[in-house]
Amino acid sequence: MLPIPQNIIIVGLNIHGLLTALLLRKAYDPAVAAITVVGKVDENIPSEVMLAGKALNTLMTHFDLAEANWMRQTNATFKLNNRYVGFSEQSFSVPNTSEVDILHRPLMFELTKLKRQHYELDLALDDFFFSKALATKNLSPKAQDFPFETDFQYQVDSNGLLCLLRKVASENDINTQQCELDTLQLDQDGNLQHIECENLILTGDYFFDCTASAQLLIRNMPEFRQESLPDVRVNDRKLSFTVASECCASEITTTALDSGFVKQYFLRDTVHFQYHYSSSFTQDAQAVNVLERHVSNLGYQHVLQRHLSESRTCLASQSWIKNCLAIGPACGSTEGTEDHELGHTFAMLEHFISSIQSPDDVSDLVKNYNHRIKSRFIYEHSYYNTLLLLNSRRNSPYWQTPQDIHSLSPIGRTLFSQWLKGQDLDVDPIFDINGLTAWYALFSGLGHYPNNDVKPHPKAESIYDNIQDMCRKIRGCCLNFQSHESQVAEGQNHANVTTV
Amino acid sequence: MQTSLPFKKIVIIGGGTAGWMSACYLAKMWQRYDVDIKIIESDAIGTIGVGEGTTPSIKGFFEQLGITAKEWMPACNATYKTGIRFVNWSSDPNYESYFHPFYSQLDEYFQHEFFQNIQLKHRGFDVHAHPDQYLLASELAKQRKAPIEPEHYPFDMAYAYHFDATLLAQFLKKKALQWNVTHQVATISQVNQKADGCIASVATEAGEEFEADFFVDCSGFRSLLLGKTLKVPYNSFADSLLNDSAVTIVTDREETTPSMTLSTALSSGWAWRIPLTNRFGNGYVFSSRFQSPEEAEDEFRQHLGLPQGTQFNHLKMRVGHFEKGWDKNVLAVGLSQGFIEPLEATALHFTTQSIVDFVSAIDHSEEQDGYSNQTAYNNKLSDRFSCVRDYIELHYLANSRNDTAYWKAARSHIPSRRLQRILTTWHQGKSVPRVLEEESVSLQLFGHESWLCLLAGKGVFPSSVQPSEALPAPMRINMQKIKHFVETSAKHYPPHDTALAELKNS
Repeated sequence: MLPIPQNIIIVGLNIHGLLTALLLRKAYDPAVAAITVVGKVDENIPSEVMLAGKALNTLMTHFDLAEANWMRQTNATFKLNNRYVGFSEQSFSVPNTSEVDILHRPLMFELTKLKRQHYELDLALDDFFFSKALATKNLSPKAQDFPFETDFQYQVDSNGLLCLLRKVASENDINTQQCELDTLQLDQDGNLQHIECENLILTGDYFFDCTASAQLLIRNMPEFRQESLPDVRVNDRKLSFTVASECCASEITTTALDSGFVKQYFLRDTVHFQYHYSSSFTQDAQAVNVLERHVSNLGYQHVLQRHLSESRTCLASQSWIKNCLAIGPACGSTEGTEDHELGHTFAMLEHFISSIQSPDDVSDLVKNYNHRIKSRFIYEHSYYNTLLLLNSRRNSPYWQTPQDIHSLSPIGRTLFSQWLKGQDLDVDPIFDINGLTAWYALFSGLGHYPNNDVKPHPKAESIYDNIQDMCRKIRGCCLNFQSHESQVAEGQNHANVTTV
Repeated sequence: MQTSLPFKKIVIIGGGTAGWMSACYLAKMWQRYDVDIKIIESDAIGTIGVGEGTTPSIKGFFEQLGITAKEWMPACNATYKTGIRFVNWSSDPNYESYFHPFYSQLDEYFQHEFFQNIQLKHRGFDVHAHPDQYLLASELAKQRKAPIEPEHYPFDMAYAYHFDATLLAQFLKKKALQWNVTHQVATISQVNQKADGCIASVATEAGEEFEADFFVDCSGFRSLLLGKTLKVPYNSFADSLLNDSAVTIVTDREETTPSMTLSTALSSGWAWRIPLTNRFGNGYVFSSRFQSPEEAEDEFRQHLGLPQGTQFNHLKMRVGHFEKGWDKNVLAVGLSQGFIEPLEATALHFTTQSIVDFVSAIDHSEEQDGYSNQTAYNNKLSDRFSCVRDYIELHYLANSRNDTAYWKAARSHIPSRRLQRILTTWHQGKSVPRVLEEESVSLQLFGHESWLCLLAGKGVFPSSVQPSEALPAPMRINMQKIKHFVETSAKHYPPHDTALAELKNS
């Protein structure tokens, strides 16, 4: 059995480092475990939007921060859906899952199967997704006396979140030291013994590397190996614009542009655009023009902030080596249209904490942890890889690069093969990200249905009646939900009262 | 599809619920044809009207007639029915009562958990397998709520009604007359047959004679045409279903109106309580082999807390059915066709389905005379009777009471091959739904949920020898979540009395 941590050292005074510290603090009382976070805070990093799951609220609530309160401090809004525009003829949605969908999922499975069997059906899977219906009406995921759970995420301002986490950490026996790592010392077994930061020598029993792509600890561990993920089109640049806005939507939009895609997020009073593009296909100046035009076309005029950064994909072959764990982007970073960066961090800490409590063999625990974490990244990448390979956009060199479906990742290839054969998709249920619904939404949204020899279905009228009935039910359920804007405003009021 | 009807003249014998339902349905469905429908009703023969329970199929019947709930329910003192609660059918204190619901779309949500716990209970784990905890209708009944789906909670609900059958017959009579059914008050004195045995005409005590191409026999237990005249063989269920008598009475209503039927086991049978808007209909169905009418009356009086000297009505029942429901040019509908005791309120289900299936058989007949589907019709009807009989019989076979000779006898006979197979499958902890499907039972009135509810609700399980904590975590069902789901869902439905008042006011 793995010993309970008593002296935890976290390198990386950033969101991932502080989340690591707080999640461990939640699990281990200060009397049991000392937690130290070291690193330099870069005050000049421009704000961006990150997506966080419900686990963030659970964590904040544990530290006595009500949802309304921490959401106000991070300018957060809700996210129920990701709308994809420009990847195929019709836009389509990849929604957050809802238990309401369970009731009409058999109908969705049946109809997508019929359509794949050459039946002519006017079918838009968007109609089947409850979260999509909520987002279209700009509703929040909050309802009274509605017993179906609807998954949602938070759109969070990264700098606001960082400030909040630092404050919470300081109030909860987490020692933070603003200093840079100079060197580290391994013992004869390859375990990390101590690190040296400026004038400090910090010894610990567990070390967490939260230094993002720098990987300051993990890359010094024995047997460390970096893996590359199969790239389709490398989007190595990220251009961000922030504009003022008076309204906030409970969905994000992902739009295919000439040399990449742009994601549009909504915070309380700002809209954020992130253009992920490939420098092989466009110059930075051109990218600025393209994004400006896109933003302008959407009716936004005044850009408050612009920022250009580089991005890359990587994956540590093993993210837990000896007594060192790489957390967040230090473990892996995959590009994608669905943002799971914070979700990965929460999952890593959850797995780690449950491993500590497990009676199983230590080497098996670590092996299992590494397998599960790596699988998450590969799975996420597979989804993105499938989107890029199977879309039908062909209007620029970027989108005209040869499309070989044999380049699909093994997961994508298996699922697409099942789709083409008219079978039910068999998605591993362990993944909380991009589950079954997302794959149906993707293949259907990208229009992968037979075009030839289509035939009318003899019971088409009854099928459309069923769809209408389902839509009626979904519309009815929406009546229970509060509007997104009022929910956000209510949070504002509530938070103010709390502060007073 | 027929372009013309093979009958020009149809005579319906009997003006009870079955007679007027038949008249309305034939008139409405065949209004495009030139057909003369006459109903002959005797004023000398009364109807049995003590409050009638129904199954959800009746909802579709009214919809096909184009009659809204607002229209007929207040006129018939009708209430909504979410299901039936069975009390004291088991001697196990953990299964003192259970609810047999009409299923809602929401029940699908935790169906898997219910089925899983049934399996685990069979393997000796002490898990929750009582159906009440999983089903929305049970909660609605508990809270006396109506199963009417609100706009903001629009999930499909199956439900039925309780009503005063005499008032319904009067209501339908008005409708039928509006739809050009002619009405004759007369008592049949003679039935005239043709050489081939078909009915040619009926003569009345007043000396009139009515000819027709087709006759619908709604003459009740007398079965004047099908039984007495055509002498179709009768298939009795008396060997497996002991009850042959009933004693009935109406009592005052309570302050609020229940939305369920109550079925309480007594010493030699069971007692029903059916809520109407103005009163309760009560009855005690018993076996005259084990209790005299006087003893039954006395026990029933005590059960209801009524004073000595209270007057009751007594009925005799014949349990079984004629081997054919449609013979020659006669269709029997209602009691004249057959009857299984009223435990699951199936009488009007047989009535409506018989007439609906008949119209479908004629409309889809490949022969001009309309008779090409007659054999299929009769086979389907027989299947329906035997499936319902098996289900009703299971109530008695699964009882665990040892307090009277009646209850011991009720489970001592040998069930049908099909029912034996179902019971064996259950006791082995194997899949009952699969067997029901193989036996084509799942297509009938009672789906697999009903069968599982009955067996689980009566506590037909081996003793639990292992605590639920011994199960791996993923197999432990979060009953709190299910409770929360069911209770929160129930909040969305209106109180029964509110729903009834809205109907009346609208």
